[in-house]
Parts: sequence; C-alpha cells; structure tokens
Amino acid sequence: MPLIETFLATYIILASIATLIISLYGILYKPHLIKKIIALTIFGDAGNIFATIVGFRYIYPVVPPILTTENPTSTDMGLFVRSAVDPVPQALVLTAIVIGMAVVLFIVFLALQTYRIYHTLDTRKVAEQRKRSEQ
Amino acid sequence: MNRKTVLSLSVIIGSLIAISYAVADQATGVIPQTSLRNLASYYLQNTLNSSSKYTWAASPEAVTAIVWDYRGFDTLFETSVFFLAIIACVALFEVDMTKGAGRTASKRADIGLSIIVKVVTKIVGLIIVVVSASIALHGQLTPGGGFQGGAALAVLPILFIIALSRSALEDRNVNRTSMLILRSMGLLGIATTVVLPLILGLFMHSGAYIMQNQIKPNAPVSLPSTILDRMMGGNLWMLNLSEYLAVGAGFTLTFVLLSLPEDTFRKILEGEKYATH
Amino acid sequence: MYETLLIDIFLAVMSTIALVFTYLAIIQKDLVKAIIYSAVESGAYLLVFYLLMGPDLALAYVAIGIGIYPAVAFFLVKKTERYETE
Repeated sequence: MPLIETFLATYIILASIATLIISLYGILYKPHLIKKIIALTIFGDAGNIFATIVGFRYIYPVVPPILTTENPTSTDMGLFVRSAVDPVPQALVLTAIVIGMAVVLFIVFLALQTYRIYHTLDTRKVAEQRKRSEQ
Repeated sequence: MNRKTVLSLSVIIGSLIAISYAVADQATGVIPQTSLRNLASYYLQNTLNSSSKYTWAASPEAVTAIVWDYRGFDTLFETSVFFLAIIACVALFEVDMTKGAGRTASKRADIGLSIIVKVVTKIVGLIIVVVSASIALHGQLTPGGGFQGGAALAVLPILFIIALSRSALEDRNVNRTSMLILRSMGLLGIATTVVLPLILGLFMHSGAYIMQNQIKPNAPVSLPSTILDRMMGGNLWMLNLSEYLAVGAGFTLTFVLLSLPEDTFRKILEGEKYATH
Repeated sequence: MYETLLIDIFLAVMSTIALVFTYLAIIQKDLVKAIIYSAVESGAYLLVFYLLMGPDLALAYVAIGIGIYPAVAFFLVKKTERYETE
C-alpha cells in the first residue's frame, strides 16, 4: 500500500514539472506572439501548482487552514494544528497570481500596438522589417 | 491527432511513469512530508488565540490574516504593481474621448445577439454583482476576499459587450473616466486604512504603527474586532472592500479600452511618422 | 483506508489531463482552439487546487483562468490574425 501512495505522489509532482518544461519550450521556440502569451499563462499556472504541492501535508484527516468555530477551546486548537495544511504558500501564490495577470494584460496591449505598426505578429518578420528600415 | 502527436504523448507519459516508479522505491528519499513547519505552526496557533492579545489577528481564516495582516506590505506593493500596469495600458491607448470615439447607434433591435440572450444576460448580470460582493465582503470568515470578488465582477462587462453591444455600456456611463474615478476611490480607501492607526493614535496620545490591526506592545491602538456581535477582524473588512472596488474597476477599464473599434486608431497612426514605412 | 487512494487517483488523473491539454495547446496552429485548450487545462488545475486544500486559490482561478484570460485573448485574435503560419 505505501508503495502505491508514494508512486502517485511522485507522479503528481513530476506531471507538474513536465507541464512547466513543455510551456517553457512553447515560450522559447514558437515565433507567434499570441502563442507565446498562451504559453506564459500556462507557465504561471504550473508554477503555482508546484508551490501548493510543497505546502501540502500527506496525512489522512486533512483540513484547509480555516477555523470553523468562533471561540475555539484548546482541544479544538490542538486538533486544528495537528491536521491543517500549511497556509503560507497559499498566500504567496495569491500574490503571484495578481502579478502574473498584470504582466499578461500589459503584454496583450503591447501586442495589439505591434500589429498596428508592423501589420504582422510573427517576430521573425518584425525583425526583418526593422533590419530593412535601418539600412 | 496524427501519429507524431500520439507518439510524442506516449513517450512523455511513459518516461514520467518510469521515473515515478524509480523515485517511489525511495531512490531519492521520502518525498511528501507529514509534519508542519515552525512558521506555519506559529501562524495557525496565533490567528484566533484570544489569550495572547499581542500576536492575534482576530480572524478565523489564516490565509486572509497572512495576506492582509501578518504580511500586509507584500499585498500593498502587489496592488501598486497592478496599478502601474493599468496606468501603462491607459497611457498606451490615448484617444480623444470627447469626440464620441466608438459610438454606434444604441437600442436598435438588430445589433447584438437575439432578444432571449439579451434578457437572460441582464438577469445573470444582477446575480453576478450580488455573488461577487458576497465573496468579497465575507473575506475574513470564509474563503474569498477582495481580489477574488473583483475578478468575478470583471466578467460582467465582457458579457455585456458580447451579448448587447459596446454602446450599451456607454449609455450606462461606463467609460474611461468613470472607471478611473472608481479605481482611484478604491486605492484611496486602502491608503486611508493604512494611515488610520496613526490618526487614532493622535487622539489616544500614544504612538502607533502603519497598517496595524490589533494592539501591540508600546502601541495600544486597535480597530474593533467584533461589531454588533459579528466578527469583523479589525481592518480586514475595510481592506477587502477597497480592494474589491479597485480590482473590479481596473479590469472594466481594460475591457472598455480593448473593445474600441480599429479605425479610430488607424487615423491616429497615419497622422504620425514611423521609421518602417 | 480507501478514501486516500481514491483522492490520489483523482489527483493523478487531473494532472495527466492538464499535461495532455498543455501539449495540444502548444502544438495547435489554429489559435482559437489553442485558447480553448488552455481554458480546459485551467479547469483541470482548478480541481487540483481544491483537492490540495486551497479554496481561496480555486475561487481565484475560476474567475481568472476560465473568464478573463480567454476573453482577453479572444479580443486580441479578433483584431489581429487567426492562423499561425509555418
């Protein structure tokens, strides 16, 4: 039994790392700007999943880090601390989501302006036009 | 899906399964952990611990307390980064709005989608406003908070632009100026809540810290943790409300600018000189 | 005893679905289909966040990964070109 559980946990971690690597390939090797933007959003998603896996606890009665009673006694607190998940990586992932979204919004506006000036969104053709205009 | 795709996918998943089996036999040690770190144990024990009033955060939800109380300055600078991105977008798409750019005839029966979709969109729009306000204002008791509520509210102008037309938003006075005013009011609310303990400290003749929630040693200034026997969490509900307003207005501003028709910008660009052609 | 096994198998299936749709989104040449594949991948990650005991993040991803990112990308595709050449 423990072999199957360890196998599944390792499989989940490696699947998120594989998504990270595939989206990084998409950012670097695809020349169209919109494909780069899509790959950037997937990259951010996979990074957030990996950070949440680091904060997970692999025990059986596991609860999210939210208290459910208004005036907890010390036995309630003891049970809560013994079975709750780490809350610090979730707070950091919230900040990372907002900053990722600010960057993607700005890049979308820049891509639109690039299309209006150069009439294409392929980065190789934009480089050719700029080199031709400098001569 | 041709043969090359199937082959690549099977190679990736097959190698993943093989490496997983090698690691599961403890070739690299024990991977998922079962104990809690010291910092997480401190935050979980002190978030609603009324016996130590110097280190509690008066809210039963640990994630909101960490985001707005224990690590409040991180969130303050993240809000300013988002604000800078939106200001950069507004500066990039500068048009003269007084000449009625982007207006089409409104209330004609043949623009937009059919009448069933229009009526259902208006009903669903009301539901979206109520649900997003509920998510944002309950942030100190349940999962949620200002940012989640603001992002849920931002779906509303997208639906209106698609089902009705863009001029349906213009008729209801949703344009660039009014959304900038709403966003500035939200950010002013956050700034006021950050400076509020200093003002309260003036009246109590004692010093205070910026963005302080409950009493601390040498600074007995605190915002009330229960109002009319409902848990309010100090300044957490004020910060959540201001962030909801700021994020919702910021996204709406982006969609109003992104849906302008193209010929207004073509006229501006042909009037300027560029080095390419 | 068997509940943890079922939750783990569900987590593994969701991660595999996300991996498959990521690969399809990067390979695809029609940009509308690529955007929809990335929205499905975001939905699979939403379920993974819920099972890893993070309800705040699940609420944030419903609004962002399925609502805002595809809408902004569709605006961009409508105003520029739809097919990726070569």
